[in-house]
Amino acid sequence: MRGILVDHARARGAEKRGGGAVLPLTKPGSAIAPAKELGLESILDVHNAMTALEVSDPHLARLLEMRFFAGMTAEDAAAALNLSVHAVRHDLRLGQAWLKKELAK
Amino acid sequence: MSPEVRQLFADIAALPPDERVRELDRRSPDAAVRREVELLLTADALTDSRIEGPIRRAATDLAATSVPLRLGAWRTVSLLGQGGLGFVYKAERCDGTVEQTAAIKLLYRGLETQELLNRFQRERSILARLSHGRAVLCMELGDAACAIASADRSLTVIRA
Repeated sequence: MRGILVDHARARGAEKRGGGAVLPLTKPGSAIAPAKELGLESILDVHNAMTALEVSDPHLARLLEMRFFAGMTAEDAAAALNLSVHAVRHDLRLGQAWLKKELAK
Repeated sequence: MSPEVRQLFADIAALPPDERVRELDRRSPDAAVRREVELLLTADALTDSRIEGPIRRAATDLAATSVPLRLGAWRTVSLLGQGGLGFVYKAERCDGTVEQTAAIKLLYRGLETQELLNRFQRERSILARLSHGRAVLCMELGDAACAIASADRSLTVIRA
Protein backbone atom coordinates (compact mmCIF):
# COMPACT_ATOMS: atom_id res chain seq x y z
CA MET A 1 0.00 0.00 0.00
CA ARG A 2 2.81 2.36 0.83
CA GLY A 3 4.48 1.53 -2.49
CA ILE A 4 1.23 2.17 -4.34
CA LEU A 5 0.72 5.55 -2.63
CA VAL A 6 4.30 6.61 -3.20
CA ASP A 7 4.07 5.71 -6.90
CA HIS A 8 0.82 7.63 -7.01
CA ALA A 9 2.34 10.68 -5.31
CA ARG A 10 5.26 10.64 -7.73
CA ALA A 11 3.01 10.27 -10.73
CA ARG A 12 0.82 13.15 -9.57
CA GLY A 13 3.95 15.21 -9.01
CA ALA A 14 5.09 14.44 -12.55
CA GLU A 15 1.65 15.30 -13.86
CA LYS A 16 1.83 18.67 -12.12
CA ARG A 17 5.19 19.36 -13.74
CA GLY A 18 3.78 18.72 -17.19
CA GLY A 19 3.61 14.97 -17.35
CA GLY A 20 5.94 12.55 -18.95
CA ALA A 21 6.28 10.09 -16.13
CA VAL A 22 2.74 8.90 -15.63
CA LEU A 23 2.74 5.45 -14.13
CA PRO A 24 0.68 2.66 -15.60
CA LEU A 25 -1.62 2.38 -12.60
CA THR A 26 -2.70 5.99 -12.56
CA LYS A 27 -4.14 8.47 -14.97
CA PRO A 28 -5.10 12.11 -14.70
CA GLY A 29 -8.58 12.29 -13.22
CA SER A 30 -11.07 15.03 -13.96
CA ALA A 31 -12.39 16.18 -10.62
CA ILE A 32 -9.29 15.75 -8.54
CA ALA A 33 -7.60 18.03 -6.06
CA PRO A 34 -4.19 19.55 -6.83
CA ALA A 35 -1.29 17.39 -5.72
CA LYS A 36 -0.12 20.01 -3.24
CA GLU A 37 -3.46 20.17 -1.49
CA LEU A 38 -3.35 16.43 -1.00
CA GLY A 39 -0.03 16.73 0.79
CA LEU A 40 1.63 14.37 -1.63
CA GLU A 41 5.04 15.87 -0.87
CA SER A 42 4.45 14.84 2.72
CA ILE A 43 3.89 11.27 1.60
CA LEU A 44 7.28 11.26 -0.07
CA ASP A 45 8.87 12.78 3.05
CA VAL A 46 7.27 10.10 5.21
CA HIS A 47 8.35 7.44 2.73
CA ASN A 48 11.97 8.66 2.77
CA ALA A 49 12.06 8.74 6.55
CA MET A 50 10.56 5.24 6.71
CA THR A 51 13.10 3.94 4.22
CA ALA A 52 15.86 5.10 6.56
CA LEU A 53 14.08 3.55 9.54
CA GLU A 54 13.76 0.23 7.73
CA VAL A 55 17.55 -0.01 7.86
CA SER A 56 18.05 1.09 11.46
CA ASP A 57 14.94 -0.41 13.03
CA PRO A 58 12.91 -2.71 10.77
CA HIS A 59 10.43 -3.59 13.49
CA LEU A 60 9.43 0.02 14.14
CA ALA A 61 9.24 0.68 10.40
CA ARG A 62 6.89 -2.25 9.92
CA LEU A 63 4.65 -1.12 12.76
CA LEU A 64 4.46 2.43 11.40
CA GLU A 65 3.63 1.07 7.98
CA MET A 66 0.82 -1.04 9.43
CA ARG A 67 -0.52 1.86 11.45
CA PHE A 68 -0.36 4.65 8.90
CA PHE A 69 -0.38 3.03 5.49
CA ALA A 70 -2.53 0.02 6.20
CA GLY A 71 -4.78 1.82 8.67
CA MET A 72 -4.48 -0.94 11.23
CA THR A 73 -5.21 -0.33 14.90
CA ALA A 74 -2.71 -1.31 17.58
CA GLU A 75 -4.92 -4.34 18.23
CA ASP A 76 -4.82 -5.38 14.54
CA ALA A 77 -1.05 -5.02 14.42
CA ALA A 78 -0.58 -6.92 17.67
CA ALA A 79 -2.68 -9.81 16.34
CA ALA A 80 -0.85 -9.87 13.01
CA LEU A 81 2.59 -9.84 14.61
CA ASN A 82 1.67 -12.03 17.56
CA LEU A 83 2.70 -9.37 20.08
CA SER A 84 0.95 -7.90 23.08
CA VAL A 85 -1.20 -4.83 22.46
CA HIS A 86 0.71 -3.13 25.25
CA ALA A 87 4.08 -3.68 23.53
CA VAL A 88 2.69 -2.50 20.20
CA ARG A 89 1.26 0.69 21.74
CA HIS A 90 4.62 1.45 23.32
CA ASP A 91 6.52 0.90 20.09
CA LEU A 92 3.99 2.89 18.09
CA ARG A 93 4.39 5.86 20.40
CA LEU A 94 8.16 5.67 20.02
CA GLY A 95 7.92 5.17 16.25
CA GLN A 96 5.57 8.12 15.82
CA ALA A 97 7.80 10.34 17.93
CA TRP A 98 10.76 9.31 15.79
CA LEU A 99 8.86 10.00 12.58
CA LYS A 100 7.70 13.42 13.76
CA LYS A 101 11.25 14.23 14.82
CA GLU A 102 12.51 13.33 11.34
CA LEU A 103 9.78 15.28 9.56
CA ALA A 104 10.52 18.35 11.69
CA LYS A 105 14.15 18.43 10.52
CA MET B 1 17.38 2.88 17.85
CA SER B 2 19.47 1.68 20.78
CA PRO B 3 17.79 -0.39 23.50
CA GLU B 4 18.84 2.28 25.99
CA VAL B 5 17.07 5.06 24.08
CA ARG B 6 14.06 2.83 23.60
CA GLN B 7 13.79 1.97 27.29
CA LEU B 8 14.47 5.47 28.53
CA PHE B 9 11.90 6.98 26.17
CA ALA B 10 9.27 4.46 27.30
CA ASP B 11 9.93 5.16 30.98
CA ILE B 12 10.12 8.93 30.73
CA ALA B 13 7.20 9.35 28.33
CA ALA B 14 5.01 7.48 30.79
CA LEU B 15 5.61 10.18 33.42
CA PRO B 16 3.71 13.46 33.74
CA PRO B 17 5.64 16.27 31.95
CA ASP B 18 6.67 18.03 35.15
CA GLU B 19 8.45 14.94 36.50
CA ARG B 20 10.44 14.15 33.39
CA VAL B 21 13.45 16.39 33.83
CA ARG B 22 14.01 15.19 37.38
CA GLU B 23 13.83 11.55 36.29
CA LEU B 24 16.19 12.18 33.36
CA ASP B 25 18.65 13.79 35.79
CA ARG B 26 18.33 10.89 38.16
CA ARG B 27 18.97 8.29 35.43
CA SER B 28 21.85 10.42 34.09
CA PRO B 29 22.30 8.77 30.68
CA ASP B 30 25.25 9.89 28.60
CA ALA B 31 24.83 13.16 26.74
CA ALA B 32 24.06 11.66 23.30
CA VAL B 33 21.38 9.33 24.66
CA ARG B 34 19.84 12.12 26.70
CA ARG B 35 19.75 14.42 23.66
CA GLU B 36 18.10 11.73 21.53
CA VAL B 37 15.47 11.00 24.18
CA GLU B 38 14.75 14.71 24.67
CA LEU B 39 14.23 15.16 20.94
CA LEU B 40 11.89 12.20 20.89
CA LEU B 41 9.92 13.55 23.85
CA THR B 42 9.59 16.93 22.18
CA ALA B 43 8.37 15.28 18.98
CA ASP B 44 6.02 13.07 20.99
CA ALA B 45 4.27 16.19 22.26
CA LEU B 46 3.86 17.67 18.77
CA THR B 47 0.67 17.37 16.82
CA ASP B 48 1.96 16.68 13.37
CA SER B 49 -0.54 16.86 10.56
CA ARG B 50 1.90 15.64 7.96
CA ILE B 51 1.44 11.96 8.57
CA GLU B 52 -2.09 10.65 8.79
CA GLY B 53 -3.99 13.36 6.94
CA PRO B 54 -1.97 13.32 3.72
CA ILE B 55 -1.91 9.53 3.63
CA ARG B 56 -5.67 9.33 4.01
CA ARG B 57 -6.27 11.99 1.35
CA ALA B 58 -3.82 10.35 -1.04
CA ALA B 59 -5.53 6.98 -0.60
CA THR B 60 -8.90 8.54 -1.35
CA ASP B 61 -7.44 10.36 -4.35
CA LEU B 62 -5.86 7.17 -5.59
CA ALA B 63 -9.09 5.24 -5.24
CA ALA B 64 -10.94 7.96 -7.15
CA THR B 65 -8.45 8.30 -9.98
CA SER B 66 -6.76 4.98 -10.33
CA VAL B 67 -7.45 3.00 -13.38
CA PRO B 68 -7.49 -0.61 -14.02
CA LEU B 69 -5.12 -2.59 -11.93
CA ARG B 70 -4.33 -5.69 -13.92
CA LEU B 71 -4.26 -8.74 -11.68
CA GLY B 72 -3.71 -11.97 -13.52
CA ALA B 73 -6.68 -12.55 -15.77
CA TRP B 74 -8.59 -9.77 -14.04
CA ARG B 75 -8.88 -6.02 -14.40
CA THR B 76 -10.35 -3.81 -11.70
CA VAL B 77 -13.35 -1.71 -12.63
CA SER B 78 -14.09 0.27 -9.49
CA LEU B 79 -13.34 0.40 -5.81
CA LEU B 80 -16.07 -1.21 -3.74
CA GLY B 81 -14.61 -0.59 -0.34
CA GLN B 82 -11.65 -0.41 1.94
CA GLY B 83 -11.10 -2.30 5.16
CA GLY B 84 -8.46 -2.93 7.74
CA LEU B 85 -6.65 -5.47 5.62
CA GLY B 86 -7.01 -4.20 2.09
CA PHE B 87 -9.07 -2.81 -0.76
CA VAL B 88 -11.98 -4.59 -2.39
CA TYR B 89 -12.45 -3.89 -6.08
CA LYS B 90 -15.09 -4.84 -8.56
CA ALA B 91 -13.26 -6.56 -11.39
CA GLU B 92 -13.87 -8.25 -14.68
CA ARG B 93 -12.09 -10.96 -16.53
CA CYS B 94 -9.95 -9.55 -19.31
CA ASP B 95 -8.16 -12.51 -20.78
CA GLY B 96 -10.65 -12.87 -23.62
CA THR B 97 -12.00 -16.24 -22.51
CA VAL B 98 -15.36 -15.63 -20.90
CA GLU B 99 -17.19 -12.62 -19.51
CA GLN B 100 -17.12 -12.70 -15.78
CA THR B 101 -17.44 -10.27 -12.89
CA ALA B 102 -15.65 -10.72 -9.62
CA ALA B 103 -14.71 -8.91 -6.47
CA ILE B 104 -11.01 -8.78 -5.80
CA LYS B 105 -9.65 -8.29 -2.34
CA LEU B 106 -6.16 -6.92 -2.38
CA LEU B 107 -4.07 -7.17 0.77
CA TYR B 108 -2.12 -4.08 1.74
CA ARG B 109 1.55 -4.50 1.18
CA GLY B 110 3.40 -5.43 4.33
CA LEU B 111 0.56 -7.52 5.65
CA GLU B 112 1.68 -10.84 4.27
CA THR B 113 2.42 -12.27 7.66
CA GLN B 114 2.17 -16.03 7.91
CA GLU B 115 -0.69 -15.62 10.36
CA LEU B 116 -2.82 -13.62 7.93
CA LEU B 117 -1.95 -15.83 4.98
CA ASN B 118 -2.98 -18.87 7.01
CA ARG B 119 -6.23 -17.16 7.85
CA PHE B 120 -6.97 -16.59 4.19
CA GLN B 121 -6.03 -20.17 3.39
CA ARG B 122 -8.52 -21.37 6.01
CA GLU B 123 -11.18 -19.03 4.71
CA ARG B 124 -10.56 -20.32 1.21
CA SER B 125 -10.76 -23.98 2.26
CA ILE B 126 -14.05 -23.35 3.97
CA LEU B 127 -15.46 -21.46 1.00
CA ALA B 128 -14.26 -24.16 -1.38
CA ARG B 129 -16.46 -26.68 0.42
CA LEU B 130 -19.59 -24.55 0.29
CA SER B 131 -21.92 -24.78 -2.64
CA HIS B 132 -24.88 -22.87 -1.28
CA GLY B 133 -26.39 -20.50 -3.81
CA ARG B 134 -25.64 -17.42 -1.75
CA ALA B 135 -22.15 -18.38 -0.72
CA VAL B 136 -19.07 -17.07 -2.41
CA LEU B 137 -17.36 -19.71 -4.53
CA CYS B 138 -13.70 -20.37 -4.70
CA MET B 139 -12.59 -20.01 -8.29
CA GLU B 140 -9.03 -18.97 -8.59
CA LEU B 141 -5.91 -18.81 -6.46
CA GLY B 142 -3.72 -15.75 -6.22
CA ASP B 143 0.02 -16.16 -6.03
CA ALA B 144 0.34 -15.41 -2.35
CA ALA B 145 -2.95 -15.93 -0.65
CA CYS B 146 -6.02 -16.98 -2.49
CA ALA B 147 -8.59 -16.02 -4.99
CA ILE B 148 -12.22 -16.74 -4.49
CA ALA B 149 -14.85 -15.89 -6.97
CA SER B 150 -18.37 -16.54 -8.12
CA ALA B 151 -20.67 -14.89 -10.60
CA ASP B 152 -21.34 -11.63 -8.80
CA ARG B 153 -20.28 -12.38 -5.27
CA SER B 154 -16.75 -13.29 -5.80
CA LEU B 155 -13.58 -12.58 -3.99
CA THR B 156 -9.94 -12.74 -4.90
CA VAL B 157 -7.15 -12.27 -2.46
CA ILE B 158 -3.77 -11.39 -3.84
CA ARG B 159 -0.68 -9.85 -2.41
CA ALA B 160 -0.46 -6.16 -3.30
